[in-house]
Amino acid sequence: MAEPASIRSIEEEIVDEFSLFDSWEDKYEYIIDMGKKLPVLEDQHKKDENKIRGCQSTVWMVSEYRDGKVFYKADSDAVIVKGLISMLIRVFSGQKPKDIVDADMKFIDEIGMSTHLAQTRSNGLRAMIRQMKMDAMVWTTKH
Amino acid sequence: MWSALDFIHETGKARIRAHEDDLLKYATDQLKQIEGLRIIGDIEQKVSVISFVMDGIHPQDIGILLDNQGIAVRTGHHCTQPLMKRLGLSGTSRASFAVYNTREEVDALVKGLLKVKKMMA
Repeated sequence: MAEPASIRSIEEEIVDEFSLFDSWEDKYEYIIDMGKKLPVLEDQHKKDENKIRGCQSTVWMVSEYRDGKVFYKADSDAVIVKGLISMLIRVFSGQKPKDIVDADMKFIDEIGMSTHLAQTRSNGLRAMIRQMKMDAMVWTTKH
Repeated sequence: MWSALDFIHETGKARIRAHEDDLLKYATDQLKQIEGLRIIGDIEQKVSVISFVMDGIHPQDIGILLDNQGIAVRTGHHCTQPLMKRLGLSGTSRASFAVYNTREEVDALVKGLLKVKKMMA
């Protein structure tokens, strides 16, 4: 099986895509679109233990470990958050735990979305990244 | 602090109240025109805040998209989780009007919300 693209190269792809947009409307419409297309998370996973704390909207996330790589699935009741999650999943899912833990997620700043990291109302994105890295770390200790 | 108190004293509480009541009434009438928008809390006399929900749009999405248009509202539970639960809501968006706000700003809010609707459609 071919190795998946590295975290950094996926980040660069996303940055390239966002460079096509001139206005905040275009950027957000793209994020909303990604949010609407995020695969549905089965109801059985939508329980309290899978909720991410620190989100104004509800976010559920689960991960599994296969062949040395971590795979994520997630959902939210807010569409923009879903779009942001969809980007995080695209970057992290199928990567090795160490690469996930070490990733600096520079692309969030590069696509102009770092306000979602800085402000309390949007602490969701920071909390999601933290949870994804935590999961990756936990999987390494288990295997 | 003293300047603020001076301002209130010079303007007069009655005038401030009248201005806020006017904005509240104007905004209520305007927001009611937006299809799919529901005002939460329609008591006759209230302070000049309007909580609302929009069909199929999460309050956080409304907040983020209004913020990008330079409009600040508060979104979420407003620290009243038991009340939200009772009302069967996951949260609301809330616009507040004060002595320094204008009718033009209410118009900007309405325009901003119509844009949110369009972007989320």
